Amino acid sequence: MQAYLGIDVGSVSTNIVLMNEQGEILDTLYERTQGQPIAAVQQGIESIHGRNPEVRIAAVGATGSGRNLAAVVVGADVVKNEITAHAIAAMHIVPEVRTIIEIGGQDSKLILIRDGVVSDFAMNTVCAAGTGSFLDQQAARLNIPVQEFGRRALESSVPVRIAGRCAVFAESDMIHKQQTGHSLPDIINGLCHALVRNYLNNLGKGKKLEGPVVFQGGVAANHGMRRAFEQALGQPVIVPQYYHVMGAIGSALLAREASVAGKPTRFRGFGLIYDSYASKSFECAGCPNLCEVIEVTVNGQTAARWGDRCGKWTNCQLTG
Amino acid sequence: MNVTFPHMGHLDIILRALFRGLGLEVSPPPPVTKRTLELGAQYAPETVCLPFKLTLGNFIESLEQGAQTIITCGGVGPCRLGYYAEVQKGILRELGYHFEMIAIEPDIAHVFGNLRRLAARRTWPEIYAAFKLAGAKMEAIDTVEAKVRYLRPRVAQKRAADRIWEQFLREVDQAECRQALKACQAKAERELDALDRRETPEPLKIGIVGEIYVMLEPFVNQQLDLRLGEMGVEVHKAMSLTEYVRVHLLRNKQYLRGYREILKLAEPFLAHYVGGHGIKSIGCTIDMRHRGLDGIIQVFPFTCMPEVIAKNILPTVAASVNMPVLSLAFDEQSGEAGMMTRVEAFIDLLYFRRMRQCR
Repeated sequence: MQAYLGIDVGSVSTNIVLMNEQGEILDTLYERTQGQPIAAVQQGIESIHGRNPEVRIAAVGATGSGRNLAAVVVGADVVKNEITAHAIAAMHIVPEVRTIIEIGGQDSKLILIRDGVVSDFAMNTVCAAGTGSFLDQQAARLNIPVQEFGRRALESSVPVRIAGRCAVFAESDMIHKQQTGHSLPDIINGLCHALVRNYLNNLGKGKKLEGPVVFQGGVAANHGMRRAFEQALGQPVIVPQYYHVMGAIGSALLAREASVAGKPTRFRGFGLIYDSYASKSFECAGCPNLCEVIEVTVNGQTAARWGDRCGKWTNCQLTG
Repeated sequence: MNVTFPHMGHLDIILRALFRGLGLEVSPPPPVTKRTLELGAQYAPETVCLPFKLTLGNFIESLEQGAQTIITCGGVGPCRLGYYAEVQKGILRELGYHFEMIAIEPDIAHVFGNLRRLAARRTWPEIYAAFKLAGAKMEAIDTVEAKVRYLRPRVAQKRAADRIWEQFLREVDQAECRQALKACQAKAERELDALDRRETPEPLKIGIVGEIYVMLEPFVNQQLDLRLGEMGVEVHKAMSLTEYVRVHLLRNKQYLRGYREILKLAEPFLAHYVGGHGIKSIGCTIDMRHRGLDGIIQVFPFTCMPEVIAKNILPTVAASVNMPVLSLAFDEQSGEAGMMTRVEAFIDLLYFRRMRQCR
């Protein structure tokens, strides 16, 4: 059977989906990147292949902050930013969507859709207080698995007011609230409200958040966050079935679109799991910019380079 | 007297011509690099805007090379630029450097007063000729650059236009008289016209508005022009050196008229001066909409007060004239990946809009 592969390499998780010609999801995979994007992609592809041995890949799309690396490792036909990928996935699953809230490991996005196209977007800039990593860390500090974090929040009906502007101060505020005797569910609930407030203040400024609202990204698993968004926006918030792999779905859709032209895929084949990849970086001493150039090799041959400002390394003849 | 000055885009070529013509020995700062930024950030107040840090880095690197006199600009209005010279002078003195600093205010009388002092041994006709040559270089650079921006999304071979452009800049720098300058401009234009074009649908047109230093200095804006060009976008800028000098220094009638029209367009949204180019960012967004551009990217240094005011008004402007706007703040922490993700998504957005309009 012919299928499309979408790969989203993010800061926290690496997600892969397999999609058929009709746009139906055949398989999904969500795993922690753990700072090793190449290994994560290889393992992910191995699992997908193991579970779907009969599938033939027609095209591959890559997205996420590690998209360039993933594209080299797998051989991608489309490399797209995660904003576009998330928007396309949400429109595929909830065609009438008008607002997309996406909160991932280290970034959060707000995408507005009007008449079936992206009309505006915002992405958090210098602050990660409203993202998954922060929840992860607080869950670890409170000794609760992050998967249970949201459920605990639902036990509370009175959110404690927590300063959500900055992750560090939110944490000191939480400690203070614990010491004054507030219950844990109330504190977790308060934290969800603080993050939602922070998100809406940072990204939602001056924008009209109209329904239907779709909430996706890893943090959408958190029921407390979903409820806090519903209360803040005064309307229901849809969490799609595949909320955690929407970026990968979007890039699979983009791959399907790109393959219509009848180009052969650049997919390197499932054999890539046996290839040996290495990436190294070096400081170019050509000028005082001292750019950190990244070089990816496949089986000892240079496959790609990037990171230089002048293009000297990016443009030079590749052996791979 | 061995003079130096801060970098800003191609300003060094113009100032070198001017100061040489005035009979001064010129040692421009080395090109802006990471080291410049590190030096500047190390000694500047932490929350000051980025141009302060980079120009401070320029001065340190120039003084290390033996420059004795720093010529820099003053400023008026509620923008921190007006304080740059004084604060930087204090910092450099505390670091133990010996130098003289001359801050030129944006006022033609003040410029001439300082000239008499700097070019003490030159006659007025010689001074006039120096200005003429520097001005001609500025115009030639801005004219050819506009052509390069037009061609980048249209040429068949990547970076072909940029190779001609870089060669042209070197020749302009060496041109000793206006005849030589004219010849190298004609040559560059001829070569650019002869480049092979590729078959493309009409490229997207993006206007860049915002703070002038970030707009003109490729090190700071991470070569936004070039990157957009290579992504198939025709770039238009709200400001150029020529335009800035004509409006704010020479008060040229024709250019002033254009400037007043921009202010009038901004009036329903922001009716008074807020320092820097804040009001212009708003007016130009509307003007560029009228001129048929597809979208606007606003660039400014993180914590830039005038542009932060504009940024908060721009969503209203964008909605009222139906023009997408992306705001990008730059500081020494700015990552390349984050910027490119936003720019790429913005370009996708503009293509989607265009497709919808065609449907």
